[in-house]
Amino acid sequence: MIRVTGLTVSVPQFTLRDVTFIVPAGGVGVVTGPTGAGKTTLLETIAGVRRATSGTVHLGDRNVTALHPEQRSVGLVYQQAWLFPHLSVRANVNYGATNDGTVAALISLLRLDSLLEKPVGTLSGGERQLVALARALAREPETLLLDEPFAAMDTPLRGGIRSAVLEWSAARGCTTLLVTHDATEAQLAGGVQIRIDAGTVTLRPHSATEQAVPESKQ
Amino acid sequence: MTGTRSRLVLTTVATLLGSLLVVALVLPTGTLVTGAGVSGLAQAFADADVLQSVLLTVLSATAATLVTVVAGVPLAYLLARVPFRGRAAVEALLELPLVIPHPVIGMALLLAVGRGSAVGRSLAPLGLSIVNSPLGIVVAMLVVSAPLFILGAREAIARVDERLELVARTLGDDRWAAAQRVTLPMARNGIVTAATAMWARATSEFGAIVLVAYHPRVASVLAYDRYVTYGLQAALPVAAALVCVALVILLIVRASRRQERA
Repeated sequence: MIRVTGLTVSVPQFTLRDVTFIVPAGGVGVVTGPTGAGKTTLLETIAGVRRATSGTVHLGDRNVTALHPEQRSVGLVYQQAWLFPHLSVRANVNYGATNDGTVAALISLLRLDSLLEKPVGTLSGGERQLVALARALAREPETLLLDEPFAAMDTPLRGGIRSAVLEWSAARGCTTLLVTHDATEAQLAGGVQIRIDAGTVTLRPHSATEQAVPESKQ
Repeated sequence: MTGTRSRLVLTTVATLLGSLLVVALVLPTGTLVTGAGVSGLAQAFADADVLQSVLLTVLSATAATLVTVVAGVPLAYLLARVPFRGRAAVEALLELPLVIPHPVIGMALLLAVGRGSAVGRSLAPLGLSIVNSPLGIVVAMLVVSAPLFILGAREAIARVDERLELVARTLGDDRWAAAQRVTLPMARNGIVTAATAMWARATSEFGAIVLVAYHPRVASVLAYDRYVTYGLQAALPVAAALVCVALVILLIVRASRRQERA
């Protein structure tokens, strides 16, 4: 479960204000909104990469607001992938991996076999995103935070990878929060829909269950 | 047409001014080396005192650089990554030796760690002394040239995007593990270049060393000693040999920078 309550985060020239929502355990939340709305800031704050000015973040039954990123059991995948350029693809995937079996399954799932020994600098944008997804999932996080991680993939590949990643997470009880610009992708991903505009949740989203009610406190 | 002519005039003026500057920089050392001649250089490199002083210089600079790297990398990381109250003041203090005349640093060292100081008195029972000892040479080299390493290493670390380190932390690393596994390997070439620049600066140090440790004589002090004792002609072979050594050092520094760019 991801439970964000009254979250306010200040970054240079921007403030994410009083955001409140819940994504149920093992479920999917989809965050949409225009560029600069605060979607990435929201994910980074949930991951612990940024500090909240006020409000709380609960992951599962833990209040993680004051915890460091390494203490939160989150996987964070950026649109830009942010692969470690001094390491090979294999070393990137293995970086935080919990066991070899998971890595092997992910390599197969995301079709990375042919890329494993390549230097990161030679990969295309879509390939980089696949490696970043594998790296984050190999840690077997309890919470998966995806910031447009399919954006650079070819359309035919994109749908299949999105389904595979969401199914993989759901099968392991991992709660996923997906940021996307793509309305179709948002619909296909389903789950709790959260719209952010100019730093606030502007659209009261519908939810499948009463428990999973995101709401703005504006 | 007017544009072409003005570009030609500008190019000519720039070339002339640049050439004058190159001549001004190269003329003194060039004259010195040609003045000593091949026989003078051969004589200098056969001189046991010269060889000993060059060896002492290189070893002392290496020791000062190694100590600075061990202590300076964590400091450079803190300055590049961790905001704390007084960081600007710490950086200003670190840069201070770069703008203070080096004989003044020598005086300060004599006061702070000389025989009459608390440090000097506590080292004496151990048979150690800063003044007129290889230890003093290392300390003087370290104080005047360590800022070059710390500032260079800080820049190299700051150039590594912090987001990579933050991603490493979401993958289970604490701050120091992420620094060791991601940031420092990526900043390695810049850190090596900073260390090389510090080492090169340390090898050419004179002002602080001559006050703290006239003996044993490092290369720069030996050249000065020969000059004041025997005159310019007698000092020429030593001085020319030192120019050659400095040229080798410069080539090493440039090679390490090329490696960084690659």
